[in-house]
Amino acid sequence: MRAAATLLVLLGVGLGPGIASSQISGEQTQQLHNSIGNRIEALTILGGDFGLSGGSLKSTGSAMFRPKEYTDTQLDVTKIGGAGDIGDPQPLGNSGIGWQPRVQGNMGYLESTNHIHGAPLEGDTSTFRDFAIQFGGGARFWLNEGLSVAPTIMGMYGHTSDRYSAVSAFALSNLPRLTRLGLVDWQVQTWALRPALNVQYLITWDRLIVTLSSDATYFHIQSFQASNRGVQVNGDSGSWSNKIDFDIPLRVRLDGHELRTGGYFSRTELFGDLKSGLNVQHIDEVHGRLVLDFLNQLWKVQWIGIGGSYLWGTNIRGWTLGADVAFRF
Amino acid sequence: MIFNRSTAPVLPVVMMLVLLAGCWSAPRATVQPKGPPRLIQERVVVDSIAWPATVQSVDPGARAIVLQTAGDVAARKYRVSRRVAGLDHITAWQRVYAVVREELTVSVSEDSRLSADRGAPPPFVSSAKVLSVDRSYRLLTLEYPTGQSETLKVGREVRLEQMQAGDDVRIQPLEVIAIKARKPWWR
Repeated sequence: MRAAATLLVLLGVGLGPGIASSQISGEQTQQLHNSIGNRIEALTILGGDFGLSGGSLKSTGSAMFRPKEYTDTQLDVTKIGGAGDIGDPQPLGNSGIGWQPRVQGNMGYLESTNHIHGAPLEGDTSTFRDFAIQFGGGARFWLNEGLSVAPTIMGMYGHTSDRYSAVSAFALSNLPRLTRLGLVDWQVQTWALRPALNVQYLITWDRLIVTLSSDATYFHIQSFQASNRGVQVNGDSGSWSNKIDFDIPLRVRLDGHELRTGGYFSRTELFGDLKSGLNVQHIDEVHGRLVLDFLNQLWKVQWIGIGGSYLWGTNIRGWTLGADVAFRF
Repeated sequence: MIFNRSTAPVLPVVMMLVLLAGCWSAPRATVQPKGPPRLIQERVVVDSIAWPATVQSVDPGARAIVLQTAGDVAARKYRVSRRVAGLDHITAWQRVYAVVREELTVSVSEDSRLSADRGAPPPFVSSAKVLSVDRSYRLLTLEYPTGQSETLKVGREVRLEQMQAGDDVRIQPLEVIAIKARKPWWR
């Protein structure tokens, strides 16, 4: 992605033949560290947050300072997690509002491989690996039979590392210095706080269920341990996702379970360091699924099946295919 | 300044949420269903989980068993399916997990009472009321006189679209189709 390319282009600017002193200035180092920090934030969220879809993503874009160069980044994100409301809504005193507890959790692994095109780093690759786990909860408040709001808070732990594979003569000769400065081959651990608000409206028509939902999420991420003092993370990000989901029974039974189909369309706007770290302003997603209804037939399972998504946005596109399992607690 | 240009678009949403608050009500089985007294559907066969159930008596020779579940006022007598093995190992007062088949009759009665013309329910026939109906996932939730509720998955032939909270349900025990001393982990 472009932010990663920015780093490498900056490396080129700072250390390339065009720079007489062949030295990277303190200001440039700080700029690179800021860029790395944003990138770590963005990848930790993308890899570890249940609100953003995983999958196989490809990002392309021109570099920030050298328009003739371009980046070619492959992102592979594997996630397991989700969110669920527990039990049936209970009355909140005599307020005419129902409520139920909500739990959310996720575990994810991300690998981002940036292939660098353009002198002097042509052929080099930079690989970020991120593992993140998050857990939290809140409550869903039902204002009427269809409309509900769910404020939640989550904590997240992340571990991100970088491995730079130097092929170019330039990188090979400068790699020890870049490592010493904490610009490549580092690792960092982070924690994050994630308050969010979900607004949901349920519409049922015959046996069809349509769910309209909107999620506003804020992230504050900080590092607490790093292999190099220069690698520091301390920033804020946000996302706003709007989704329409269809859940359609097909009136066909397979082995005692009704076949259902459905899917959703969503658009997620990114803000803050998440936006700058990924260099993505928004991500659109269309998802389809074919599942078997297990509700009240298998413990806490609503459905089991397969699902797939296609994602696209500014400088990014990708797809995901996998098991689609929903739980109802 | 709390309200400025950036917060202004949020105000209508907040006001809408405040206005809508107080419109939610928990499902109640004690409401009088709409429409005249009528039979909605009979011979609705459902499989129900009896857990925990206490064996009151068992007759392996006659393949009969009487179970008392925590959610029910009275015990229910079932025949035991021929497919159920190991009935000899079940003893009285044992706590068991059972899958039982029952037959429901759903109706609307006057003043939420069972119609007098049906007379007193026969022994081991119990009653409940419809608490909620989920047509999409074909779930029928019943509330028993003890206040406990149970959700049943019903077949496509069940006329859920005609059922509503407050409907009367008579439950006729049919047979035990599975019985175990322990609850399986997947249920």
